[in-house]
Amino acid sequence: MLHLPNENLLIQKTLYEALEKFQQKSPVIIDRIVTDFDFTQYHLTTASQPGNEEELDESKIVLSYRSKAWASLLKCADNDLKTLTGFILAKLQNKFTLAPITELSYDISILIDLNTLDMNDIVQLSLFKIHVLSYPFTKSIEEFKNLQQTVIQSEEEGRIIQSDKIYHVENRPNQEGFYINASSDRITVIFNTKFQDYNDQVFGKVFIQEFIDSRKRNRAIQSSPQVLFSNTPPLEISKICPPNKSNKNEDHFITFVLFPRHFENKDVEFLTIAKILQFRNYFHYHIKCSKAYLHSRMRFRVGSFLKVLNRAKIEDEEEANVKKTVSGKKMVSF
Amino acid sequence: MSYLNNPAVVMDNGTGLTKLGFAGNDSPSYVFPTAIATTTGKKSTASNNRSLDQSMSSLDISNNNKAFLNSNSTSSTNFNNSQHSSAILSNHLSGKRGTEDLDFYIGNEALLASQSQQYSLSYPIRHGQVENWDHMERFWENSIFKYLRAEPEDHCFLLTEPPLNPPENREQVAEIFFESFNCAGLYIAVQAVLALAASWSSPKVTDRSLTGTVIDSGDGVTHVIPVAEGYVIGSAIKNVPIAGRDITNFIQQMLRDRGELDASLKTAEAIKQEFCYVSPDLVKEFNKYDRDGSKFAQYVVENQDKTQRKLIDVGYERFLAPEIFFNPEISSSDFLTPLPTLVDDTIRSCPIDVRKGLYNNIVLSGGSTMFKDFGRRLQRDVKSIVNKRIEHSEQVTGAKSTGIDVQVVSHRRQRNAVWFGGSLLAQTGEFKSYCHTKADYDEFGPEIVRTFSLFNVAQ
Repeated sequence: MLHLPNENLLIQKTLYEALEKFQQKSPVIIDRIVTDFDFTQYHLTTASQPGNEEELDESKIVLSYRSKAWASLLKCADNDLKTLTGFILAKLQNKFTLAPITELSYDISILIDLNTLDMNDIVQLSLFKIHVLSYPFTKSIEEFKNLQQTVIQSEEEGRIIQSDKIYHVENRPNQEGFYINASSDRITVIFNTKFQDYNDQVFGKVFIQEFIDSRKRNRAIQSSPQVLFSNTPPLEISKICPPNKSNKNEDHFITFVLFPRHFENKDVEFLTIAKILQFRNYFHYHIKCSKAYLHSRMRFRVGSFLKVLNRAKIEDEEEANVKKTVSGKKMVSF
Repeated sequence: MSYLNNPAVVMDNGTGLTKLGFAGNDSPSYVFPTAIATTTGKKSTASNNRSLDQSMSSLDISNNNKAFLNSNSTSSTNFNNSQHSSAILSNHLSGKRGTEDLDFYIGNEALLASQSQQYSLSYPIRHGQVENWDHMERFWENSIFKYLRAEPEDHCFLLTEPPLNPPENREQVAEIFFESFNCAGLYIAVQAVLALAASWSSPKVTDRSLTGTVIDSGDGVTHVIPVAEGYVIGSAIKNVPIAGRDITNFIQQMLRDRGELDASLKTAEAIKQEFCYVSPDLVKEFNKYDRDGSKFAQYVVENQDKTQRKLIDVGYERFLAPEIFFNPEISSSDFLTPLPTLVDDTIRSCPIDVRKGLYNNIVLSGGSTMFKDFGRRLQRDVKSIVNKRIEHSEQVTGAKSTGIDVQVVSHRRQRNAVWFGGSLLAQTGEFKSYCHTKADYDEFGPEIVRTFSLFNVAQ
C-alpha cells in the first residue's frame, strides 16, 4: 500500500537479529550501513572494549548517525551540542549513553547495551531520525505555550503575538528544507521543496492543489492541519527567505498550520511531528507511484494498438487462408 | 560535504529471490521472494476491505508476535480502514476511480496477503528476465521507498541482469529508473561478471581479472557462463537442469522410500543445508558408512509448540544428494552429462586464446554450490578430464604440452555472490563515473544503456 511507516525497518531488523543472536549466546559481529531519507545515514557496529581498540565487546553496539540537517539543528540549539544530544538521549528515555568517541564523519554515536535492550527500545531506536528532527518542533511548542500564557495574562482578547524566532532546518541541498514559526494561537510549518525534473514540477503542482482541495471537500478530514501553497515565500518567512528571482516556478512553499489540538498530548504531538517530517518523502513517493500508474496505462494502450496493427497487416496470397486469433497470433493448421 | 556521499543501492532481482542492500555492506539488507500480491480487480466495498484487514492483522498476530521482525513485513495493514471509508464519503477523484493500483504487497508480505481471497500472487520475473513490467515497476517502487527508505534522486543504483538479456529489456529498465524514479545514476551489470568480482575476496585470487568461468547454481537451474575480460561469451553458455530444488526432491524421495516419520519438503531442505557434503569417491564413502556408524546423523523435527519431537535418520543421502551434479543418472533419466564434463565442453567451445584463463579461474556462485568440498571435487574431475586429453594429444602428435592449470575458486560469500560483487564494485569511489546519469539519459534517450563501460580491472 502507499504507506510509508515511520520506523526504519532496517534498523529494527538489524538490532532484532543482533539481540536474538546475543540471547542465544552466539553473538555476531555487525558492521552495517543503513540509510534513511534526506541524506541520513546510520552505521551500526559492534563496539570495541573500553581502553582497548583491538578487542571487540560483543554485548554493545554503537549506532552512529549523520544527516544533512545536523548543522541547521545545531543552529536551532544555539550551537550548543550538549543541549541537542541531551535532548536526543531524553527522547530515548535516557536508556542509552553517548559513545566515548563519536565516529569519524558521523554526527552522533550512541552506545546500545544488548543486556538491557528490549523490543520497545528497538522501536524507539528505529525512530531515531524523527527524534533528532523533532528538536525544533519541541522548542516551538514550548514557545507557543509561553506566548499563550502571555496573551492570557495580558487579558487582551484576540491579541496575537508572533514569535520572532524562526527555526530553519535545511535537510536537503539547494536550500530545500522547512521553517517553523510559533505564535500565540498556532504553529506554522513551511516546507520549501524543489523539483529537479520538469514533469515532476507539473505533477507536484496538481498534487498540492488536490491536497488543499480535498481538505475543503471532505468533511471527515477537517480536523487535519490547514494547508496552503504558493510559489513565493509566505510572509512569515519572507524576512529570512528572499524570493527566488531567477526561476519562480522552481520553488514550492507548502504551509501547514498546526493548532493546539495537534499537539495536545505527547502521543498526538509525536504523530503530528512524524507525519510532517515525512511529508516531503511521502509527496515524492506519491508522484512516483502516479507515474508508475501512467506507465502501466501506456503499456496497456501500446499493447492493444499493436494487436490492432497486427490484425491489419496485408496478408500474402498464400497466407490468405491462415486464420488469426484475437491477439493477432496465427493459427497454423497441419 | 560528507553527507552527500550516499551509498549506492545494489539490487539483484532473481527469479526466486530479490537481494536488496547498500554498497559497502557485506551481505544484502533484505532477501525476500520476488513476489507481488495485487488485488484481483473485483469491486470491493469498504466493509469487505475492512474484514480483510482484520483477518490480515489477526494472521499477523497469530503467526508470531515478533514475526514482523523476522520477515520483512510491517503492520501497515490498518491503513486501509480509514482511507477507504473516507474515499467513499468524499467526491474527489480517488473515490471515483479507485486505488486498486496502489493496493499491493511485495516480498514476504505478499506471500502472507495471498492467503486471503482478495490478493493474487505473481512473480514478475521468469527465467531471470522481467515478464511483467507493470508489476516489476511497482515492486521496485515499494522496495526502494518502503524497505530501503531511500529517495532514488539521491542514490546511484546498481542493477543486475542475466547473461543474454536482450538490450530492449535494459532500455525498459532505464525508462523506469530514469523516468519514474529520476534516479541519480544507473549501472546495469551482468550477474556472472559480478560473481567473478565477488571471488576477489578469496585469498586464492591474486590478480583481479574479469576472466573466468562462472558456475551459478540457484534453486531452479544451473548455468555455466564463460566470461572473458568482462564480456560474456554468449554462444558458449550452457545450462544444467539440475539445481537446488532437484537435490531437495532427491532427499525427500530417499526419506519417503525409507519410510521416515517426517518426509516433508521443509525437512528435506533442512537436511540438505545442514548435513550434505560432496564425497571424493562414491564406493569408498559407502564402505566408510558401513564400517563406521557415527557417520549416520539424526535430525530432530519439532512441532510448533515444541511438544512433540520426531527423530529422522540421515544416512547415505548426506553424500548421495549432491552427487547428482557429478553423476546425474542416479536421479534423472533424461539429462546425463556430469557437471565437470559440461564445464569442460563449455570452455572448449570458447575462443582458443581465452581458454587457459577460463580453466584457471572457475568461480562458484549461488546457494547450491555451498556443499562442503564441492569446489575440490569439481577441480579434481575437470583436471582429470583435461589431463587425459593432453596425454592423448601428446601421444598422437609427439609434442610436449605445457599443461593447463585448473583451479576452482570457492569463497565465503558464495551464497549471495552476485550481490556481494555488486556491493564491492559500487562502493569504490569511481563507481559514480561509470553510471549513466539522468542528464545523459535526457540527452541521448534510453539506448544509452546498451553500453556500459567496464570497471577498471587493474586497481
